[in-house]
Amino acid sequence: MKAKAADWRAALAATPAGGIAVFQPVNAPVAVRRVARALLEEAAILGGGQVLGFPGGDLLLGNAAGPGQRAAQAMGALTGSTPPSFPLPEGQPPVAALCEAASQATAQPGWSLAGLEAHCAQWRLEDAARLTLLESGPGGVPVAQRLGPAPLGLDDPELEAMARDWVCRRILAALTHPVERARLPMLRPGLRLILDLPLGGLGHGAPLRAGAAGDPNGPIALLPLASLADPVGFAGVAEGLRQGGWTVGLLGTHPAALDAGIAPELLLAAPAGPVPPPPRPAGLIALGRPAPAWCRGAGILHEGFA
Amino acid sequence: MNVPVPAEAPWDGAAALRDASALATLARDCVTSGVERRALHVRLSLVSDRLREPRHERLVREALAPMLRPTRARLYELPGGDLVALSPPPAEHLDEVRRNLSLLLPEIPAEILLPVLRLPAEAARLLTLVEAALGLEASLPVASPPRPNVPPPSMAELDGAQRALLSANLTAFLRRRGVWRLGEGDEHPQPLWTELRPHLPDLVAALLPGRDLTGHPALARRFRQAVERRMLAELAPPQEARLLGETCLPLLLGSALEAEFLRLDAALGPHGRMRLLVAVPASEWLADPGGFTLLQRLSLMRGWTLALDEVEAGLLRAWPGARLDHAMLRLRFRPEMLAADAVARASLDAALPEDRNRVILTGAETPAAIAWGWQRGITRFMGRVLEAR
Repeated sequence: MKAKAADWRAALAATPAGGIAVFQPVNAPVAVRRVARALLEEAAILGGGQVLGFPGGDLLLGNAAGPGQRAAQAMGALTGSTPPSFPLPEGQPPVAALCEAASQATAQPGWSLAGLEAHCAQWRLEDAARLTLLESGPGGVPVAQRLGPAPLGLDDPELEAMARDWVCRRILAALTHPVERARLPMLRPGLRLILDLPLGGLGHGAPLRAGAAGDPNGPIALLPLASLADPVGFAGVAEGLRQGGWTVGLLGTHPAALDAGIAPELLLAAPAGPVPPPPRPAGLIALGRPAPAWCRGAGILHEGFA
Repeated sequence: MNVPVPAEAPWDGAAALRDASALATLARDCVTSGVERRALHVRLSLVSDRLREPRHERLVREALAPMLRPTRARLYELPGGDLVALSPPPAEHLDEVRRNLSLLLPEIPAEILLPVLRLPAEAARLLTLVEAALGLEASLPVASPPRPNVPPPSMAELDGAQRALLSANLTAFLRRRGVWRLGEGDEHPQPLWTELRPHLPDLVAALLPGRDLTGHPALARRFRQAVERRMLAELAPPQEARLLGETCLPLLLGSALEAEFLRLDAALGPHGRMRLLVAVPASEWLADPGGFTLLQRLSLMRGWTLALDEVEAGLLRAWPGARLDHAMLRLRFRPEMLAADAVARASLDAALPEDRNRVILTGAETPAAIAWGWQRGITRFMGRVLEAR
């Protein structure tokens, strides 16, 4: 650690006047970090300089300002957030502070599939399952409750989806088990239920009936948006759920999912961005707290404003 | 009427295909306009190969001449060798021609070898025989044999396969196939890109013997991504990247956002990137819309072309979002698409990008697929029918 610390201090001090430092923090999916890293390395080749990696981010020390500025602007165009850049040598103190913090950060552990599967199987059900309350309109009164897996916050969306599937299956099994059920969060009476389901829906086990088929206010089953990749299989699963009294919804992992233009008879749950999507989808469940102001409209379930 | 085709040409069916397509259109026009025609179908495909030498073909054409010369009759040559002579009524020379032909080819009775069809009444029959000549019968879906009960790999086994792939040499597992342009006026298909794709079934057999990934999409994706990472690592060194040329890489979203792809992107330089087509399954958008948006912006910024891959007609109808702006679209041809009713056809046509140069029809295993594509202005194809014979 000490040698590394000396490395970045020496490199920072050695960057010539008129140079630039660009710092891309790690607060995003791993793909964003990889793209940023590639752009910073390209800038280092074009303008001279080097890229230093920290657990908490990547730092370009560029000998010329132009390529570094262009890399920072490119990241802004790609992700919507421009990494901070500092002219050198004036920017040395804030850059040193950023490096100090970034070298103290803990890197996310790399998961093997076997390790992740074991973790999801052994995770205490009390922690793995999460109950979220949802409101409608500005009232602050919960009208629905979502029972689903607690997010692991992995930087690889594919691993996160696999983990979600495994935990969903455990929650489903526990719901129909007399003893295990007590380990799940207590459902609130009178609130509409939103239940996260794995890719194949309820599967082949005992059908979990929700009520009379066709009730528009019946409980909601949330399937991953990726289910649509198999339109025929999805149609079968959705029809089975409707017969069992469920309202069918899809779960997206990103605000961009709201642009999907999916069929209006399906509800759509997704993280809500700061601005409403162009044609506001009917039957929206806005995820994330606090919900942005545009979610106050009638008919949008959200996780609350406070 | 056919220009002789040099022996090294990759595909010589373009003229016959054009004829078949034109004949189908004409049969439909006869139905809508009510114009009458007589069609003489010369089923040379029934004649044994022994008799189908150039000398005989010349005799057949000479025998047809009385019908063709004085009238506005037209001769169509179908894939498979059949001829169709179409003439306006009263078609006085038709009987004479039939007599001459049956003398020339006495082995098969005239009512089988030389049927006459009346349009518009028998347009449906004519369309059926055109479709048969286009290879529809050969392309009917074949039920896959029942699989023996092969288990999926455990997570530990999949971890092991991923580790093995980090240093594997994929050269023997890479397959190259062409993406071609073939317009209705073209004699030969023009190569646009060479698709480079690892052959996954062989890799599963080599790295996960006794295991099966079908029916386990999440595991199959994980395996495919590890394979693609390795392929990209082999392509990324500058001396390899320089050799790539016009290349199409089918990649999962995760692979296209891996460090290995970004290294290849850098090694290609601006000119190399302009020649690269990256085809990502449309379903990947559903699994990770945020990552897909990032990739789409990256493609615009870096100058390579993004295509939505493995697009099924059903998906396009159920999810019009699959028609992303600026991206190309690789639509998978299915024989069922020929049988679709007018409503399904119209909704699929409406879901296709207006600029049909953005559409590549994949899975073109029979001439019927090409004819289907041409009917909706598609001129970019992939499939066995276009590959060198």
